[in-house]
Amino acid sequence: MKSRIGDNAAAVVAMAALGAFLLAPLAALALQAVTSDDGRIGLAGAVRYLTSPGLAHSLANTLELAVAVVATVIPLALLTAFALERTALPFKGFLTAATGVPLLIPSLLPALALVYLFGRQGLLTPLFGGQTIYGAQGVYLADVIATFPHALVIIRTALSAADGRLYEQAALLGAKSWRAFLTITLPGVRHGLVAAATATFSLTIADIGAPKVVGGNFDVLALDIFKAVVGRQDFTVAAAASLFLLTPSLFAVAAERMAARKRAALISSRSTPFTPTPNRVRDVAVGVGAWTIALAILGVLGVCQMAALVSRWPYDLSLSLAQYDLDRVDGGGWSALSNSVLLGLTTATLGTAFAFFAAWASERSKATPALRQALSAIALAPAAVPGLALGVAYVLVFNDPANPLHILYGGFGILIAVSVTHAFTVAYLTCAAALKSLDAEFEAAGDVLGGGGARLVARVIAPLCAPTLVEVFVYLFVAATTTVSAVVFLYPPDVKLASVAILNMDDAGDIAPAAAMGMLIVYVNLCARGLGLFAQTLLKRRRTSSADAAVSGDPARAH
Amino acid sequence: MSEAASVRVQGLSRRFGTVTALNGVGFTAPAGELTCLIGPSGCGKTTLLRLIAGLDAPSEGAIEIDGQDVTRLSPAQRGAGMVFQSYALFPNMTVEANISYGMKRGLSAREMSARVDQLLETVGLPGLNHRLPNALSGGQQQRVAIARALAPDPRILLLDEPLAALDPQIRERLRVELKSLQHRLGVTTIMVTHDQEEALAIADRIVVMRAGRIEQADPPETVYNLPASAFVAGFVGAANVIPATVSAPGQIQLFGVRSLAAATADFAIGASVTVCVRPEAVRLEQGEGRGVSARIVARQFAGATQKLEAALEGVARARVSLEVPADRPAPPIGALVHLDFPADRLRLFPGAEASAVSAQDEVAWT
Ligand SMILES: Nc1ncnc2c1ncn2[C@@H]1O[C@H](COP(=O)(O)OP(=O)(O)O)[C@@H](O)[C@H]1O
Ligand SMILES: [Mg+2]
Repeated sequence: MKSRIGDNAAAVVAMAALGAFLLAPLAALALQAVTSDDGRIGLAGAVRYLTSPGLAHSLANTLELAVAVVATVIPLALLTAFALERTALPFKGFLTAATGVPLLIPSLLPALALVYLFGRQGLLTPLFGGQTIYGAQGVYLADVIATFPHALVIIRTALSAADGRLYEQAALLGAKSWRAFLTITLPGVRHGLVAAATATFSLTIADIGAPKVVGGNFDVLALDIFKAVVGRQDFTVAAAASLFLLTPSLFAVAAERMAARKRAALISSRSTPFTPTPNRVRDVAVGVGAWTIALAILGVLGVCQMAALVSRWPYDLSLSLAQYDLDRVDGGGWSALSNSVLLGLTTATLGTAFAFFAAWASERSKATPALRQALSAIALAPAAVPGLALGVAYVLVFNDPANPLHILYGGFGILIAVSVTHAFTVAYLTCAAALKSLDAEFEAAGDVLGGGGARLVARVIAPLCAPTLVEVFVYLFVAATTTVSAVVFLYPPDVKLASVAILNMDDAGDIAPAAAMGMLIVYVNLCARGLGLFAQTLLKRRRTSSADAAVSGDPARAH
Repeated sequence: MSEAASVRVQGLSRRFGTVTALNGVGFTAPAGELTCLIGPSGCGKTTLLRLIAGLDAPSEGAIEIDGQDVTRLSPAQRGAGMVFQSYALFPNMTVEANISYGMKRGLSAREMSARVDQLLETVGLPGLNHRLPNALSGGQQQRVAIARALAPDPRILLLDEPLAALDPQIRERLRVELKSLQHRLGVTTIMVTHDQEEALAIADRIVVMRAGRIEQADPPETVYNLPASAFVAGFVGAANVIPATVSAPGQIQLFGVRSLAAATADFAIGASVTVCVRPEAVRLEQGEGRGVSARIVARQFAGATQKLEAALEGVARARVSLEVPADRPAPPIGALVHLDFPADRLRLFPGAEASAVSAQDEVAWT
């Protein structure tokens, strides 16, 4: 059939794009790791790295750090998620916003706040007898703050999918709420906890910001890579270290997806939503915890904002806008911010279009099932690649004049490519979930009525997904403006980016302007988020939650 | 409305990997008539309908509409309108936009809008042009789906369980409306249902399917009174499906023990047969009399009739269901009765059909 050929072509195009921008760079990374200095294939470089005295040290540090962060973040995120989803606490909207803010901030910002609070001239340093934050404890704290909201989002989703009937049943059988928590809630979110732990682990081992700003002498793998590329141009070592970063993420993502698939089969379509009932003791206990976390996060932001607004920390605390004279210091100044916004907009536009296209090809097109399955498998791969590893891989592939895509290198194009690829999986999965929830018979109806698949997508499928597309757009915008690791090796000299500027300003000792820049990114992203929510509300109001009704009114279940 | 067109299907097969959903299906849906496809869930009804619509390509066989081979044509080229099981109304579009979606290009806005009004009038929903599908009841959505299917002026109309999602009362009313609409428009219609009562009520022809094959294709009266197989007898209407053997010319042994008179001309002596008899054909003789003695074990009041269930005396697990008019006194549970099976109301089929009995189990004892 004719339409089938077109749809197969679409799936192949999507796969080819992922191949060019993800698989080829990864292959180059693997190849580089076994290429020695004289260009011959061999394990010399890898062996040099593996036997270097620093490696064992960095590996142990990285692992220790990641385990500690996971062990802290998961219980905190579970507590907060429980407070938001399962209790009758007041001001949940505020709690949600406050605990979610770190999703919008560059990962360096918490580290900067720690410097202000516990650094050499920190506000609170005297309380600790002059003991500063630099070192493992600093990186640990900064990463806990930076990864917390990611874990929270995942656990909340898992908790919100609860089946209210189970709790009613448990209550009828006389189970106390503590017992219901242990026997129903925890097993129900086990998958979410694993996924959250996985994400936290991957984010922590790949983070470059916190180790650079508050790491002191605390060496981690990410720093090894950074030093190898920026300091010594030693790509063999960088590639070998990147593979070390990549391997655990790869396993983690694979395990997580397998668990997700198994779980999807378990969720009953008959489940009823859960409505929390007030429980004084539980609500107070959980509420105190959640509010503490929310206020701590706002405190961190507040410190950065204050630092950016005082004349000279800590000597002259009078308010001033001097730090916002960003062009005074190195790092890119205001143009860095506008570059970042531009990168955010282009990444969001192209990324949303591509993610929707790929998700459509794998979820709704008439392409051969084998093609569609292959596409949806490849689409998960970017989630397994830490930004730093992706950056190294991009340098290797796109710096090569023989690559037809070499023209992207050294310009804005490469930054867009890496930003889209880096954030692709979440964007894709979000689109895929929205597409999957639409009535399965739309395409058949479109075919019978005439006009073909393209008309149906333009007039029905895409409009129905519009709120989701807005969400994905904002997500990609925020991802592009906050990432450091993916772009830090790739930005050309004449295109400074705000997130990287924070790193460079901090390096040069201009901490206050760095905080100012960080807060500017936060405000830009808050605006983006706000506009996105506004747009979604408008879209949903225009037709009262049509996609939901299309699904719930679906009588196809009968046969 | 286009001229009504007949649909002819020949040797149609569709395999999905190892699953054979359709296996050499052939039938004709005469022009202007309402043909119902019925059969148990999973027997291939939807697959057959999708093949006729052109949404899927057959592994073998051909489809003709109005004498023209359309097997290789795209859905839009076939001139088929289709109403889907889920209705598949586009929720982001108003009723009017939904209905106009499939209209021919080149119509002016005025012409389109007039045609929409006319179609809404036809399906009995005038004035709902600017509603969104979510603001309609299930029955209204179903009618909008029909209007949308009719909008391109199709040669044939295909409906996949159009009433299955509705409440029983609305369903009965709408099936009557559906039939009168179809009759008024004279459009050749093929409708899938798994509800045999619905098919009996409105079809001009019934095509009974089973496991990817056609068991019988006939007018409803023929299907009911002269079922072509024990399966059809059990599936369409209630029937007692009883294993028996031919014991002598004109004689059969029910459950291998009770002797009855029957028309056995087609069978050899000693052959195993399956006997089908409608509950309303079984006659109740109270007290001593002719026929087979049995004990009443269950009684259901069903308005105009009483449904009884009797266990044959001395035969394990041999049950017969029967119906008597409600105005006649029915025997109480536990009463000993005699059942008469009129020879002209018994239908004999070769072989002891195991699955026919199970199909009957689902239907006949309810
Ligand atoms: N796309 C498909 N892929 C694989 N098997 C299918 C597909 N469509 C239908 N089948 C199988 O074909 C058989 C007939 O299905 P269907 O036509 O939907 O039955 P009905 O509509 O009569 O309930 C079933 O066994 C079903 O599982
Ligand atoms: Mg079906």
